[in-house]
Amino acid sequence: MELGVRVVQGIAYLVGLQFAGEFVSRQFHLPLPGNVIGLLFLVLALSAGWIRLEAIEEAADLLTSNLMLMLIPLSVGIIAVMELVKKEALSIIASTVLSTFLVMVVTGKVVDWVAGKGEEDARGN
Amino acid sequence: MQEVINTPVFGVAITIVGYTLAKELYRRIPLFLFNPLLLAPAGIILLLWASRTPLEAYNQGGQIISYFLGPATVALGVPLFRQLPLIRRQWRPILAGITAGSVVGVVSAVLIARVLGASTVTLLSVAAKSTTAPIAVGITEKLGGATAITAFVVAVTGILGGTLGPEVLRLARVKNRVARGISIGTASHAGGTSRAVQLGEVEGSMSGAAIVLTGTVTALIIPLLLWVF
Repeated sequence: MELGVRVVQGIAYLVGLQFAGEFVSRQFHLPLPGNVIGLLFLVLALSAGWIRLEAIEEAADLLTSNLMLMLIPLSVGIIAVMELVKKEALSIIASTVLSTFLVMVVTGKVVDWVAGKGEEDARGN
Repeated sequence: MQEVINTPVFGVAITIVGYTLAKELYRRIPLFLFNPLLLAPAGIILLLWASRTPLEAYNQGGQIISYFLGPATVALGVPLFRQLPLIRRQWRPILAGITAGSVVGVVSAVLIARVLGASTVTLLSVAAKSTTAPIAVGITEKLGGATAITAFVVAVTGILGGTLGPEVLRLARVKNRVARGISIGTASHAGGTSRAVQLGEVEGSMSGAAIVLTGTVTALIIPLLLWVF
């Protein structure tokens, strides 16, 4: 099969799974976003062999390597909430920066601690 | 000209051109301020402002492009599936770290913003900032926050992890390679992973594995945590 045909077919699978995820999310009033449910469906379908990796690999790689492109229109939308952003710039930036460093330190320490309990020799350099 | 601006072609075209130009510029001058995630939107905003084009006109095309974030999020199941054997080998520390990191990420971002007097919309928009952008946008939509703020803070988070991640871990004396990789990926998704890859193969693959797991775990725990507040 040609690359183009495979990519379109792969995207069809992904859109179908997204639809299934949205449906389940709304139908059962789940707090989980539909696209994340779709992601879990995909992992399940691949693990169970219902979908072959080759059938969607190229489409998936194409989409995930261009995420930045798809985010641009959302970021441009910041002009619609500019007043809010200007007024709360300090809290937005400060919470983002501090929280990022906190997550890093806590995650690192927890993994270090749990891994260290299991096997001491896992400690590299 | 005005007629073309009022069709979806306009938004689609300037987004793709802006993306391509910003990526090319960043490839030549890899300064963090030139990150395409900041530079491309900034350029487009300037263009809209200079040409007095309303956001609605741009969005006709912009929406078409950002629609693909949905299937792209589903597509993140592919890297997660590929990394399953790696995750399975050390699932205890990985899962413990990612769960702890996800909780701390949501709680600390919301608390700090609240202490500094942020409105509810802002709190809901920064809550998912450590997750990968497509998942973060899905979470914010579900919570009722502003996805534009989320896109911005997620980009800043990635840039922070990519520039200062290894230094922060050195200061915190986190030496285990698995721990360093998971830590960078959990805190700063793909932005941090681009740097973790340079630290070594273990760090890179662990950081990559943490991206989708963190997004999924955060999506699961956020409703619980926000309900508590």
